[in-house]
Amino acid sequence: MLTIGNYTFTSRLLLGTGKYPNADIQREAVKASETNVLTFALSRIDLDNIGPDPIEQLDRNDFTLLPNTAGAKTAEEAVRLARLARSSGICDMIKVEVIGDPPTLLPDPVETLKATEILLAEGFTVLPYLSDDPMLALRAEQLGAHAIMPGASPIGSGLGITNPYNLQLIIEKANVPVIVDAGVGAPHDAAEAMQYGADAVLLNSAVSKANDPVKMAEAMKLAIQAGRLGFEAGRIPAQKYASASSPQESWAKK
Amino acid sequence: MEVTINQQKRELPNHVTTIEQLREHFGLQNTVVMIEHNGAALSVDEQNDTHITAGDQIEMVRFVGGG
Repeated sequence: MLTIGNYTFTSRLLLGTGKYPNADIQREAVKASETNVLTFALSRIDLDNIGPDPIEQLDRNDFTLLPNTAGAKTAEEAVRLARLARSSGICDMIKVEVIGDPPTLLPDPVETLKATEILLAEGFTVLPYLSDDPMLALRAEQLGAHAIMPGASPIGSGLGITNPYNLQLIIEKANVPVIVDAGVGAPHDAAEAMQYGADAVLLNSAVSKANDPVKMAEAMKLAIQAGRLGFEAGRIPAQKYASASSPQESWAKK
Repeated sequence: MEVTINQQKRELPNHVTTIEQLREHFGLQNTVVMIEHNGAALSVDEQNDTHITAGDQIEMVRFVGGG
């Protein structure tokens, strides 16, 4: 079971809701993923063109909502968004996402930690999105973050885990759940994260922009389960030379 | 009266004097709408009790798809 603050989830896949081809595919993909947590952004309502409400598509009782502070460039903006999200009355978890660099969408570490500190003091369940910097992860944990979310690689890049060494360091040092968030491309990336000992994976584009999002959602669900089982099973170490699995006695020579 | 909603000045009909009526005015009474009123995020209960006056700065926000 995945425990974050006061919340417990059976699924270790957290799913984003952005950039699906249409609402029907999104609904089917969400179902195939068997996720318990869906992320959302906040946006001003276009009052001249209101349109359908994405939240209405869901059966809210089946999911925990994890809003993010996408769009915030400073801690102050992130806090403003978080307070708005919580005022809805339907969630008190918040993903702190404060982006510092548009081309890479890498988080601004200073503003992220500032926002994390403020929101923790206000009683939020805080999950900061971080780069894969072990010291940054440690600082976020020391502030009291309920989980830490290091990126595998830039958001939407599909690059998978570009720095396994750092990610493993983060997981090794962490005393709070580690959710690998951002950059997952293929199921093996999600499995890899879980094999390293991550507690969960958050992904969006890997599913929503796949050719077949519904099939990919199922693949990711299975990959995360496989990676977790593999981690629990305890893998063999990697070594330079062979260790025979069959008897090597050469008795067949005449 | 004139208020600013989502950074745009709008003229509201005379009968709209509370946030609850504002939501009804836009047909948003049965959906999740987050409201910031003069810098303060309002809970659902607060929305029902809050009066609007001319010049108010209001943000009307919803959840949208995102990662």
